[in-house]
Amino acid sequence: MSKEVLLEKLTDQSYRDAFISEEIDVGLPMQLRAMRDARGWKQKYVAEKMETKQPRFSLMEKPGYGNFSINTLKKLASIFNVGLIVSFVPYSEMIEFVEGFSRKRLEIPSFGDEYIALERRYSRTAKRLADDSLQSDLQFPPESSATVNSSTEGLTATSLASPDESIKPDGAITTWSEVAHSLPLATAQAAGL
Amino acid sequence: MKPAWEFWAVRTMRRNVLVDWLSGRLPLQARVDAHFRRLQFISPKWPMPYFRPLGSGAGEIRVDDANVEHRIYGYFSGKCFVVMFARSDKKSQQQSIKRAKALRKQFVKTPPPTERYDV
Repeated sequence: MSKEVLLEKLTDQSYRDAFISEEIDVGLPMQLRAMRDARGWKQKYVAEKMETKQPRFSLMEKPGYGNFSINTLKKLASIFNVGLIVSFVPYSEMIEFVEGFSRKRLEIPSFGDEYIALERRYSRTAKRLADDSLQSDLQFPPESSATVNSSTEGLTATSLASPDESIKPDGAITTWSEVAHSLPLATAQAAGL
Repeated sequence: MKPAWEFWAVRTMRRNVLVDWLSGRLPLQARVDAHFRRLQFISPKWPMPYFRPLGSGAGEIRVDDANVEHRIYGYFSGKCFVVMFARSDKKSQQQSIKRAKALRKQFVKTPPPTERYDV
């Protein structure tokens, strides 16, 4: 549905109420079914994990089931090993959510399935951030990165340091050559030190 | 990610049968929209209880709403599910199934004018 069409429908209070209700009452059961199918699990298996009966769990998978308690949802999130967000949001966010709906919103992977990809992604990000931080430290003059406020007769510690020196938060002065020696050789060479 | 299915509806007497059926029933419209929004990404075929094939290429989408079971009858045509008509009562189910099969046969010979239903 285009955002324009949806927005037009949402101008009616009864549609808004129903829209919120249906995204939960229809959305959650269909997600449960899709997640269970993707894992090749039987209803009975999930029901046992939930310490309930299979017909009861079967009801939860029926679109329109509107009796989920937060505790039940937390239990299901634990069984399927997935995250759960219960939060009030502005309608703009709901519209974006609905507009961006895709199969990915149905078949949620477990934490285990995501872990390796996430670990790689986050370690790459951390490395990139570290590299960026190093580059920015090396590109800007020391006085722009040092923010020590201690002063001596109107002169800041920054202005007392030479261009080859940087000032640590504790006031100690480090020279760029010291920084270069503390880096692994390859990194220092790459940084031109 | 593109949807696997699109929803279309037959137009009779210049009226879209699905829009006509949902007209003035906004809560039901929201429920049907929520169903369609998800069904469009389920492929290759929709499982029970969301959908039941009726034979002769026709099928029904089930939409439960409190104590009423709404049924949306249609057929697949390429990547489209074309809605032929919809009913909201259980009593007429057998009659509706017969009608859906008959209409499907008729539409194979003479494709009806259709219109996309945007979800």
